[in-house]
Amino acid sequence: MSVFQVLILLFIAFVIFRAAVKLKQKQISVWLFGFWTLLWLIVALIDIFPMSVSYVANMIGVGRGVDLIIYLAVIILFYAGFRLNLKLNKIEEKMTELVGKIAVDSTKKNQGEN
Amino acid sequence: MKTLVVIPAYNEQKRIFVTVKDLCQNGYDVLVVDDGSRDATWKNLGDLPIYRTRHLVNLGQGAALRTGSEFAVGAGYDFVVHFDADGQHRVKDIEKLVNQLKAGSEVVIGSRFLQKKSDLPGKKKIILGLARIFSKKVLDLQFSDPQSGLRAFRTRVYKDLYWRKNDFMHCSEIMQNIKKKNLNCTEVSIVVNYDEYATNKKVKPKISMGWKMMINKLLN
Repeated sequence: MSVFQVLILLFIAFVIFRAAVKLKQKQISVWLFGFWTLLWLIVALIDIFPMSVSYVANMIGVGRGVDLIIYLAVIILFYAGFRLNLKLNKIEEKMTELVGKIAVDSTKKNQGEN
Repeated sequence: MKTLVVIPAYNEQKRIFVTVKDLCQNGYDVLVVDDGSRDATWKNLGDLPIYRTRHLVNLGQGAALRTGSEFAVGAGYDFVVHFDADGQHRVKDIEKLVNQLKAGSEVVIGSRFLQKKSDLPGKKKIILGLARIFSKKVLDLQFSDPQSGLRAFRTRVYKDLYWRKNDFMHCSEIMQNIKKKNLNCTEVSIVVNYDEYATNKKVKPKISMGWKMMINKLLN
């Protein structure tokens, strides 16, 4: 096992440990903890047995396992960025509406002299 | 016919008082929308007999004009005039715009290019020239001054004119809406005073807006 693989495993252990702490503090549900742990365990398995991804990659016609992971990561990041952009626009729209409404409602006239 | 002059103001402490006072002295009803200024714009309005309000945070010129127009509609005004806070517009041009509305136009746009009187600085002339070509060729908007900030419209067409852009892109959006809704629009010649203050302002339209407008045009 390479140093890089060990580092990834340590990172995964840290992520699961943080989730366990949150579970203990009752900040997350058992179900969420289970889902999160399962996700990272799959990543750990891929880390220990990288050839398993190569098998899937070959099956769908991508050269190497690492390539498959990079392609998937790019697609997921793109989608996440798109969703984030939509959400930001929506929040900005709501903020604009709110600020505008407050301004219209609080418009006042000064009766000073010309 | 009641007319409200809406002035969006962002960090205009140096000019706001003089601009508004001039309008008041000419008998116009004025609403200043302070768009979250961080300087003394609000304070410098002093005791002027005008409507005033402020955005809690800075949203942009388009948003400030929308707030002002929204108020005009609710307060029962017949005409709305959009007027810049930095003193670059002439008060006497308002009358020209309003007269066109009275003559039957639904929207009137003040144009710096119908006559050659406006004394535009060289850099500004190039940028506005490019904006005009972009607007005509890419956005298909046949207006002589697509970035004009001096305009007037009847409050009853506000719904048709309604713009969503908060920044300077509202200018093009308004023109697109005029075209889309087939509103009766006239352009009148105006003169803009470009002194050092107006030319060196920090808040200006950005070139990146052209890119955004193109994307909008393609996606809508």
